[in-house]
Amino acid sequence: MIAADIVYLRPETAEEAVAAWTRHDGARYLAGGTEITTAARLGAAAHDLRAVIDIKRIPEASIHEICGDCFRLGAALNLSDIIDGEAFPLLNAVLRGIADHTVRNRLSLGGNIAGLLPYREAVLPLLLADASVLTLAPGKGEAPPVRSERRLRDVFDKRLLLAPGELVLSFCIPLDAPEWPWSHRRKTRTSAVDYPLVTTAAVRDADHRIRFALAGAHPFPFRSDAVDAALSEQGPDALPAVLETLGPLRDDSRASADYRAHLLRTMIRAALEELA
Amino acid sequence: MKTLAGTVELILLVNGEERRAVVRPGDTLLRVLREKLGLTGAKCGCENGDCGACTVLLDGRPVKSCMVLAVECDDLAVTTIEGLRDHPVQQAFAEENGFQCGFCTPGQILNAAALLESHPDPDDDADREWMQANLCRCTGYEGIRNALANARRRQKPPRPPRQG
Repeated sequence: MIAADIVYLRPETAEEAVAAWTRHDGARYLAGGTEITTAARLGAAAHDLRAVIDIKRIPEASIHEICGDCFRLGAALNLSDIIDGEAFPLLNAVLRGIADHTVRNRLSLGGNIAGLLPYREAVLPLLLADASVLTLAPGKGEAPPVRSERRLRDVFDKRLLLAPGELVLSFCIPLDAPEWPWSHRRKTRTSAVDYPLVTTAAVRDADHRIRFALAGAHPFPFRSDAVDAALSEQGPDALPAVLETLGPLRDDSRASADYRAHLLRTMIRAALEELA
Repeated sequence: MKTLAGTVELILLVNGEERRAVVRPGDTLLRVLREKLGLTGAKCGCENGDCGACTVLLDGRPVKSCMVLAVECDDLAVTTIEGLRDHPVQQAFAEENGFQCGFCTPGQILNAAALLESHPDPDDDADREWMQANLCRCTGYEGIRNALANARRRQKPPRPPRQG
């Protein structure tokens, strides 16, 4: 329950949604609502939350189709719908690891990627596939809203870098990416339904280069060209250098940094063998 | 654009009946079902999306009603445990003692009923994946597993005996 008195808005278009955001202080976009409702109950988001803008009825935020040389996934699609679509095996494997299926029936792709939790595993396959992200941001002053499609890697640095009020509409994935050999591994502390200690995702792309991304080991998802190059050129021999590049790992009550490093060594080796 | 503020009258389709409730936009479906409509089958467990005691079906799909705003559901069919009448899964849970304290049982049954609907043929992977969504604080998982198997047998007519 959200204790604060909020306004609920349900726009039919992206432009209406962005206009609603500019008119309501303390507004947040809502698709699945899994994070907003729980964060509000805990008080984490309640103090400044005054309105929610439900984007599920916006057609372009619920798109799930091939457009030219890519396929487009709406940010408001829930994870179960994407899994059922079976368009991208690596994405499916990653999404199946997130929460449980009743939560995935609500949790949205955009919500997972733009959310506040540190894991945001859904972004890993999209970073590896070199996907793009379509957004609509409020215009300055009286100017109309600004629509832009940008390479996801250019606007994802630890988190999705969005301007205030910028609405994520969809992600566009090159059609050849689902054909690449892939590997996904996920380690949790206890049961399968848990946040990851480490999640790794890797592909061998059309140029036979390794692309590698991970979540859980840092307070943010991670992908770097240096790690990709080292793994592509040196294979398992690159592990010490890769761990050096990854920098300090999370060290908390769920797992020590040393244990996460051990998991990473094991999981990267296994991914390289799988993709050999 | 639909805009709701303050307190509003909401019409929900619950268990096939049109139900009216005065709600705030911030009220979750769980609270509205329990506190406004008197349907206390969905249980208030963790209210954090972890335990599954509040599971209901939205257009036939199991969801955790503690994570859904009631105002989002005005054009969806809501099914609570009160809406299942002598469902094969209920009969199977009773026959196999698929419960101990019973707190998690409504959520377990609704999830299992949706599972059998979407995966009518036995599928161990789907069974495991789906039923992970509901925790049993009594750890009575053996009975729950047996109840699911029992429900699958009830759903499938027995094979006719071989001739000759």
